[in-house]
Amino acid sequence: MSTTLRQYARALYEITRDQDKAAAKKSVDRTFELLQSKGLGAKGAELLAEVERLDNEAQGRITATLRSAHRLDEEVVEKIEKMIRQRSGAKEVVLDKVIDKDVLGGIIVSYGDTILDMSLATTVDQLVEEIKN
Amino acid sequence: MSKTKDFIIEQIKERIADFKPSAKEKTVGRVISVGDGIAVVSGLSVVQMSEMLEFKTESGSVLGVALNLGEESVGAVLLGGFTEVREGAEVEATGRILEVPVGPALVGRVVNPLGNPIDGKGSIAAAAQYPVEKIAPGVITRQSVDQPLQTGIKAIDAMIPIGRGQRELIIGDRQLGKTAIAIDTIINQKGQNMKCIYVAIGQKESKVATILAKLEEAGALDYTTVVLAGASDPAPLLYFAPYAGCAMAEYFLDQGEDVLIVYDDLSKHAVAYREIALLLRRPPGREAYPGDVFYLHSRLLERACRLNKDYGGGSITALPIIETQAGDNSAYIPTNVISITDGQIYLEPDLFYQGVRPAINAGLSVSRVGSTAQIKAMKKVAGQLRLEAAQYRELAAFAQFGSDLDAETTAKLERGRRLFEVFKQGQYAPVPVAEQVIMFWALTSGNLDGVPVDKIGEFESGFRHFLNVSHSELLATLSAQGALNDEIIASFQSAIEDYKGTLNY
Repeated sequence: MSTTLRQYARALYEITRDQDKAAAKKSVDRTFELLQSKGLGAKGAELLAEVERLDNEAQGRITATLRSAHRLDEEVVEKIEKMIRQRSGAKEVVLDKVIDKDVLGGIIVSYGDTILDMSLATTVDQLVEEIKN
Repeated sequence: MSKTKDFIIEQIKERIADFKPSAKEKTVGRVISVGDGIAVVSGLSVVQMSEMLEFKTESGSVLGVALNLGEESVGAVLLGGFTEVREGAEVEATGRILEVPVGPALVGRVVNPLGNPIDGKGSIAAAAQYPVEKIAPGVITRQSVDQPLQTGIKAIDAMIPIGRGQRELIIGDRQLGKTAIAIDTIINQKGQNMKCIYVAIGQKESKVATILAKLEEAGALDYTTVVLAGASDPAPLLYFAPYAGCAMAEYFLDQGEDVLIVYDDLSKHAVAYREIALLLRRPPGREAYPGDVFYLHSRLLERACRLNKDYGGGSITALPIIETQAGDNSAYIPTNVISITDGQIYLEPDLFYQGVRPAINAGLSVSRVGSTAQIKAMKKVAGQLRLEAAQYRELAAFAQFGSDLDAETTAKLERGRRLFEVFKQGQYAPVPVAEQVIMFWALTSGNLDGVPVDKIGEFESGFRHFLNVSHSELLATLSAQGALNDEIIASFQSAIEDYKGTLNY
């Protein structure tokens, strides 16, 4: 069974966590040498993404997306961040705010595998189904 | 015009007054790759085994089932819409393990393995949703099999009797009458307080259409459901079809009813499972089947059982069908299913082409429940038949040498020939048990010894017609009592003598 990129990333992350700068640089170089020899040399970006993901996981940090039709007040955004923290159990939430006219009103919050759909667009869809039946 | 507009607005306001929008929370993933009916999905970290997934496509959502739960991705089989699912499409977990609609509304309908009607007779109002996969009832909840399942086929009811709650395998090469036995059994369940389910797995749709027409003609659709996963359906539907049929049967079992379920056939089912397993990259074993192909059939057939009184007293009788290649009963799948079932009915090509139809080899066929599943009358007359059939087969080899045989051997041979003639039976013509008992009694009591062998068939149909017309109360008494006594036997004797009097041979 060959080692996957994810496993290399995990190995690198765990080794470099407690190392000083010089040793860490050596580890990174060695990792890239290994990847090159396995023909995975071009996958640097994926390795980086995976290491970031592991770091986020370890620090209890998650990224979330907030879609709304209009800009929301700071107060509201903070409340949403708090809700996401409670639901996901994460310590820190990096919130990406997106303005999306298709939402019509309300919000759609997505983090990890979960999507919380509290948008007007979906409510209208539900209403259409209700009337059809 | 504005009055109409106001009216419409009022109507709409009323309609939506009770509407309460709900915030939806859903677990999603993305399709990484899709092909050959299999989709690999990332995300979905809390999905369960066999959970139903919805793939969002431009033309609506396509259903799939999660079958491979990996560390980084989930392998799912698509239940249709292969060309519509794209890489990168959103996949939502429904939270429901694969389930099908069940209930009395399914009786008389033709459905696909997901419970959707395909007979054009409108939608089905299901009583409940039952999970497709279920753990079979345990030892304590069961009772041993002691009620007969009358197939209406003389050879089977006499020598290889089947009981309610038994699993009896029908095995043979192609075109020997395996499905015919199953259909005749279904037709014979009219008035027997049984529900029937016919699961067609990978069958030609033309064949199923013929079967449906026959069932309708015989009035069997009043108590039969057909679950169809035809030859052109995708492998996942073929894989789920028998389990879906069993779930529908379990609804009636839970109501304390008796159900007969026919799986036609499990060889195609194993092939469909092999296809899915290979596409999911599960390691192939013997004959390229995955390692758990035994479990595939054992968990299906163990759900056929007889429950004791405390659990309703219902039963599911299973008649799985296996098609062998060139009579090879020792191949992988046939031997697997033989070891799971409570007996088998072997159909042989040699017998078929000699004109012995149904082409049942009584020597190799077995019913492990045996005479416990026969009414007393049948036990009395048919007890010796199996032995006599076996002895006849041994002697028939000597018959080729012609004349130099003693009287006893000749008598045995003559009796044996008549026995085989009596066992011959046409298709779609099941015989009620009372008439079977009378025919076997006539044979074993020597009343048929004077009838020429080639006239036995004619004699039998004529005698049965005679009994139904002039002695129907005798048949009714026998059916009601289920046992023979001297009085009934004497009545038979006089009836058969009356009938013989009308013949000219």
